Amino acid sequence: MFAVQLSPEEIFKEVTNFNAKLAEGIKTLREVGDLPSGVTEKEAVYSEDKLTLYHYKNPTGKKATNKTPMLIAYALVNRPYMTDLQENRSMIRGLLETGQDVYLIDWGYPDRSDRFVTMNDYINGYIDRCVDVLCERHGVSKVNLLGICQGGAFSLCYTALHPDKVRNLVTMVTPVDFQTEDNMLAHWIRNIDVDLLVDSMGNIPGDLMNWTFLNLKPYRLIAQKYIDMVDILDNPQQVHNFMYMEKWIFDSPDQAGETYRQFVKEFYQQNGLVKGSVDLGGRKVDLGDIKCPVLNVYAQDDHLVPPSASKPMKQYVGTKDYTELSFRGGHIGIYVSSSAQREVPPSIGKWLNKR
Amino acid sequence: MTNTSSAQQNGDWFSSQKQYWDSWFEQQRNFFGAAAPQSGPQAQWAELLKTWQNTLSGQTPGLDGFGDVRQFQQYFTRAGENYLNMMQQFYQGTGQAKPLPEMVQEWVESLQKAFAGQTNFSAMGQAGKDPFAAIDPLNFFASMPGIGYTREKQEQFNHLYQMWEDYQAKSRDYTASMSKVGLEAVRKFQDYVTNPPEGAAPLTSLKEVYGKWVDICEDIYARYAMTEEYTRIYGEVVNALMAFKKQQNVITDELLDQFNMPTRAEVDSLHKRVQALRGDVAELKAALSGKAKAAPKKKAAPVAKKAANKPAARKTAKKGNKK
Repeated sequence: MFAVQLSPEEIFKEVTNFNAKLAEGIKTLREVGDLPSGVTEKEAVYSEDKLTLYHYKNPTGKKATNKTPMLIAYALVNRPYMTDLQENRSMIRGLLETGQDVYLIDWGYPDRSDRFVTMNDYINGYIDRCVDVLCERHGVSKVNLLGICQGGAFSLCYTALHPDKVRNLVTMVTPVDFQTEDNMLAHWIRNIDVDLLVDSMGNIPGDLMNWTFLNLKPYRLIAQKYIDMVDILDNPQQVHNFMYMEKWIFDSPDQAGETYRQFVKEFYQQNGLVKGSVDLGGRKVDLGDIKCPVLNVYAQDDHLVPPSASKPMKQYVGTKDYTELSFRGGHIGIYVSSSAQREVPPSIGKWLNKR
Repeated sequence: MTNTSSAQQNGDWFSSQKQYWDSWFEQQRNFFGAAAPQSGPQAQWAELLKTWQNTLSGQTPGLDGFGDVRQFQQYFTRAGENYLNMMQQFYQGTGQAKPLPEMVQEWVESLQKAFAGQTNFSAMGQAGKDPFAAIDPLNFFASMPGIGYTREKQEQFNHLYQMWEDYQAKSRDYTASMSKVGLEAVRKFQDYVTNPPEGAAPLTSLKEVYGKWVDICEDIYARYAMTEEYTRIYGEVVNALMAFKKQQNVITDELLDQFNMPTRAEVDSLHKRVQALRGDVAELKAALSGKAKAAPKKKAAPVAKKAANKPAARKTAKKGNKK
């Protein structure tokens, strides 16, 4: 049997349809217009250097029922509006609906003046000061901390070093063991001379990061994805959704050089988070010091942070109240897919409201 | 949004990393585009391609100086163009009553030839016979020691050139290793097409043919990208490029200094001092407000040891908390 079974008529029909969608699509693409970076109304309540701390307003006007404010710490890679991409694809809105009072740290776009900003500055400086702002605004001594991806790793460090300031910790798609067999990024970084890289580049360009991520699945992400796009070109709403995602994927801030150096060396190359060797401002991060309740949310098909990198968390944290939430989807789908909207924020909200 | 500085810094990185993908796209385009139609309905097709290109790629205003952004857009264009060319090839084939297996076989053979060519080219370099060495006078002079009062500068430039050469060699190794991935993908695709696994659904559209080709490429690439060989080659090419860039920075700073301009090293030094001062100020403020941080915990890192003994003990303690 020959695997390809096509008749001339079928080829002609497919070509004609493709051609029609393409022609129509050019018109649709021109009508996409500007895409906002986040859709839910928010107020800047604190700023420092490139950082802005936002407080979200519930579109329904309802007041938060959970008296402990929630602080979201996103990764330094890409922009945090992934959590609030569109009206019907917004983790922020989902959390607001469960009664959380949501704040989010926007790290901004570091430039060369931020090259020497360290992980200690991010974690014991910026995050800590944002926590203080929340505590002061709400008259509380602890916050609920939600860390995403690299922001999750930062949140683990923060909670271990400041256990008195975190009531509950939620981590999403967060790596803990950086040297599992199926972690492609960890394999690639193993032989990179990170000191040479940072000394040569200063800050690490966002485009370089993007290119690395694209190369995890290059044939699909550089080529096939755009062929598939033609199928939706005659549907303005779907094109809109596609372009929102496209905008977010390539909206990549540069990475502060010293923070990148430390993160790659101590987390990826030395696997310091599980070995207890990460050093922040002269203090070692011991995950065993995390005694507050922990909810670890991971994605089953995550190619950037495989479940095997995230699930070991339960072996290292010191809490007796550890819960896992496994989502059937990928690293990005966990924020934007329709099933994620139904499952993830309500589960997080429910878990928090019980504690 | 991308910082201008990074866009400017990035040129070499992109040129190194996208080299393989450029050739991958190019090989397909050369093959499929060889019989480009010039008249009749097929000329409309060519016109559509042109419109697609102009709309989605380099004609976008406001991108001058952002070469990397433009390159990403070009990938968008190329992805569409290759697929359109593939469709066109099959479309034309139907008009010539060419048997389907023959059309597929032609495609497979062209890819095989191109990937094999890349591998052979690199093998020449690996054998110690760099094809450029004999015809490049710079390579000859770069190995000469510097003399006279400009000796230091000569050495700097020689060093830069040698690093560029080293990067080029490592880059060729990288391309060759990726060509092996291409060759294996071609072989596997050929196997699949002629002897599909039992129960496999037939490919009944051009999109499915293309999808299968991508699936196979992705599968082979994913396995190769996790090998020690790939990790080593990838590390070597990145490190070689960064060594070149570091030397380039040294020379650029020297030139800036000659023109009495601030150098990157000087500006970095200022940033470093400002950052250190900010830390000092923060500590003083904290001390003044009575929030001085406790002295650093001087404790060992017992986590790994503890964790090694921990799972079994903790499982019993956690009862129903875990999912």
